[in-house]
Amino acid sequence: MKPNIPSLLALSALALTLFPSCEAKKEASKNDVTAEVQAFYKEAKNDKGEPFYHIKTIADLPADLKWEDGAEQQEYGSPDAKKGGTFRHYIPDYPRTLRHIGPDANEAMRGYVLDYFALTLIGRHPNTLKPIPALAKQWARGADKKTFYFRIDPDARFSDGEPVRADNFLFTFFFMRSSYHKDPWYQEQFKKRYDAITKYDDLTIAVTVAEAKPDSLEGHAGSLTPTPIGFMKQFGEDYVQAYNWKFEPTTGAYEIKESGLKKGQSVTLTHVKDWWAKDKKFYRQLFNPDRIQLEVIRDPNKVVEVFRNGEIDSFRLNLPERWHKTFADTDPLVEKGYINKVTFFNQIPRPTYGFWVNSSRPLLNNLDVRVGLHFACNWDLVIQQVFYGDYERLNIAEEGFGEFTDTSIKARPFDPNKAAEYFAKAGFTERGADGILKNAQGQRLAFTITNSYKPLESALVVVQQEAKKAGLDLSIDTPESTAAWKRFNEKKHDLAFTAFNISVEPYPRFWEDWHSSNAYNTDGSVKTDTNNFTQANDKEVDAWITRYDKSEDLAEMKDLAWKIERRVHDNAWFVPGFKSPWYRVGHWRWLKFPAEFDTRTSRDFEESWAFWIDEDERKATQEAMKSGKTFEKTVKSYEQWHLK
Amino acid sequence: MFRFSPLTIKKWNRFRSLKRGWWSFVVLVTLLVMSLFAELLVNKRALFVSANGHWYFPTYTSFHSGRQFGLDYDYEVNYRELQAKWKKDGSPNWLMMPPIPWDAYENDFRKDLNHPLPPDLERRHLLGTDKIGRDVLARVFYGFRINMIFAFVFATGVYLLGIIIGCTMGYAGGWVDLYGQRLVEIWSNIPFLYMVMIGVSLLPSNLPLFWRVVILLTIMTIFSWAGLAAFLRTATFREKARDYVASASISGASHLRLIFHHVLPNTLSTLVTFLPFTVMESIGSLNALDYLSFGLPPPTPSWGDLLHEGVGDLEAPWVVLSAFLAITIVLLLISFVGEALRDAYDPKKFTTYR
Repeated sequence: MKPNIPSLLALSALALTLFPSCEAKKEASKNDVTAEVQAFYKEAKNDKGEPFYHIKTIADLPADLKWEDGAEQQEYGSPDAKKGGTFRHYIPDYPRTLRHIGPDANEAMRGYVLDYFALTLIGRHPNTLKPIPALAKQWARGADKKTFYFRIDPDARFSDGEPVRADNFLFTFFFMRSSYHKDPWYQEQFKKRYDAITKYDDLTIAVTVAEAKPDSLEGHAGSLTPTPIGFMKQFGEDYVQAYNWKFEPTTGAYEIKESGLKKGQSVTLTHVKDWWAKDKKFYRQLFNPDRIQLEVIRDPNKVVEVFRNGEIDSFRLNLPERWHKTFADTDPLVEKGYINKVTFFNQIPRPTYGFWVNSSRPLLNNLDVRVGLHFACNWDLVIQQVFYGDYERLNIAEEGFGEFTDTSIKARPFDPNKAAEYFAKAGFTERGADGILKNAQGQRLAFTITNSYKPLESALVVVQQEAKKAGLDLSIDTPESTAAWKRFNEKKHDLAFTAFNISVEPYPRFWEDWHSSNAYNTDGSVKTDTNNFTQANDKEVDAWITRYDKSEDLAEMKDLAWKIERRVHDNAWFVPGFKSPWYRVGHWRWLKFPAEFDTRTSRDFEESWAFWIDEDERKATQEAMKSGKTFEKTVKSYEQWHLK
Repeated sequence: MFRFSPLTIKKWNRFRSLKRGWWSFVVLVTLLVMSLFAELLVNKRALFVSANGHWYFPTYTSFHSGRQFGLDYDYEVNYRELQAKWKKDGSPNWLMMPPIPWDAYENDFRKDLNHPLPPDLERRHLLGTDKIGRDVLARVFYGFRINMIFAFVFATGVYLLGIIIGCTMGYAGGWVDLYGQRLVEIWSNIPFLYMVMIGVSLLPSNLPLFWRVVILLTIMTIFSWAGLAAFLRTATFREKARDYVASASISGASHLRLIFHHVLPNTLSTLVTFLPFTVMESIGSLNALDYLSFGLPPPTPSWGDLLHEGVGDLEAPWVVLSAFLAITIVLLLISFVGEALRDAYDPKKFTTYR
């Protein structure tokens, strides 16, 4: 419906005379995005130039659809879970925004703002990776393998009360494809990956993806989140500033209210009152605490003490010295059973710890230098000496994808002689007085590692010292982690030491990391804010990735994946570091977990949200500590998913 | 021939008579001289090597590869292993290691043992190792030298700025003094540690170490001159009002002559007594910054860094104790010297305010 302009004008004139001070309101109505949205719905095209939005009636729905509802899947929470209580945790830095998109949004807070809680059209079972209902209670696959039909759960609503309807999904595309949020990656993805959205009625939509893929349903069409239209009414050019501290109403279980923000100190999430999915299968046993309290603790060592005091409920023991020393099995708190220690073996794509080599930098644009660099990095020594031999060497960036991972590719081992050989090929033949190689122009073979993990700095110092044997000088710079990421995104690093946490998917994505369109703009300038931290630029790889992304044939995809992995290895863009086959956590005994502890693909218990807080147990434990009563010592290893 | 004025000699003797300060001074100077030759005392390079009829003195020369001594690698030879090998083979070659055969960077990794390891006389880790197997004593010792060099440059910078600004203010007086004082007040209220942290975090990552240190020093200096300037202003102000300055002025002495020949030499007591405290400030700030990892980039040996590591791992007390004691002892020594200097320069030898 078109707004009636003259009467609106008359109204606002009246309002102005009646309330001369309501300038702000006038501003707001000027910013109303509704008309723009309607225009976009009419004109939007997909990448192929076809209209993007379609409005049909329920009678147009194909008759032969087979509706699925994921009823055969098992719940993974625990029926024993107690509701209520406060889960207390920490964040390493106060968030710079509550937006989930745009500048500064891709930080630690984003998980709590969106990823952990917001429901998508359909979910993915963490054990089987099969679809389960979420915002849609039923779904069906179209004959073209590209269109997927969804019946939205009529109960679904946002935390501000707005019901979730077809229009919210239509709006998502307007939102994501807009440039107002200043995040070109999403803008591009939403144009590239989706061909059409069709509204049949308020509760029935169809999403057409651009390319049929084996996981198009769960991975693309079903992964859409709705956008609250009422909240986004003033969406416009000033979105990044205007919405910086506004929490977008969520379909998930937790929201951030204004009272939950203590600037610079803490963020508290509260359970949505009468959350719409609280009694639904798959969700009734999850998201158990009433509140999630996140203290800002910037110093990792302080986190240890805060945890020891019981002020936060859990602490990651993934660093070997944390497991073996800080909270050794003989630690009184562990010994007396107040703090429990858990090793949980999972099956996931491994985070890609290693050096992302910026191949647009001078010297690093030389393949021989990069290969030499690989041979000069002694990760095995780091694993043995710094990580207590607990970790394993990572071989390629795409590990843990089953048959899509070419396990015959092995990371280049430390070999100073071979490294010197390759450096010599690049013209670095002479060693200077300090033992560092020089070329004929007197240029030293020196690079900077920009490190985004302060606790891992000592590991890098070992790599640095060992690299000297190969005549390579590495210096280490550890800015605060958000500053480090900013530098990576701006492609201003030599070697980026960081890891991408890869979401659990059946097969790897290559486009983000290795496609040259994420390295350079069409005019040849460096493209910023992409995940291509290596500035990988290989036309053949580009072609393989394009084919891989288009392919729906698993065998062809596997073949291409292996080719890409091999070439990435040959191009020496990424120096693989280390991986761990488990995650480890220490938790106070009042933090309770299901009998299996966690799901197959969980990287962290904060992903499945099946745990609960037992406030009675908290009191009992605190009293026991005063009176000296002890509990059974619990150091457990859950190996049901261990790939041996 | 240059002769000290009787007044200076008197002050010097007075300083020597203050036993605590004097001995602190002696110890500090000894440490300083030792640290200037640290490579001869604490180093992984041998002092001399006699191999196949040749003599080598690797300490200050360029590096020698393993291949030069018949080993199968091109990187720097491990002299300790070489020594052990020659001994085992009964070779006529021999070499002599410094008393502490480790430098501040080398990782002494050992099979099935995880660092930090406690003091070990046999391997000559007199203060143990840090978490990646580096010798703590070596790091403390080289850290001392870096602190001292840093303090020297820092003090020079602070004195240069402080003297120029303070002297100008005191000598010129009038509105220069008025505005200058307000500037000093504002300036000294800017939290200097934060400014350094902001400044350092803005540095590009590929900046060479040298420039990082220069910039760090510059920022620190820019935010540290205010105290000295304020004191020097007062001193200059006082001296300027004295009759001998007036008479010199009447005799036709130029402003520059007045400042450099009459006023400044008489503010010497302020300058000298301020020095130890400037040095202490430098050590304190540098290590605070290192502790917060905004100081010198790793793996530069630094007390602040060692302290940070030690506090994080209290199960290895030798790390935190070494750093703590090093900082405490050196700061104590300097403050004793400072105290003695102040007393030596105090014209009121007998005062009720002692």
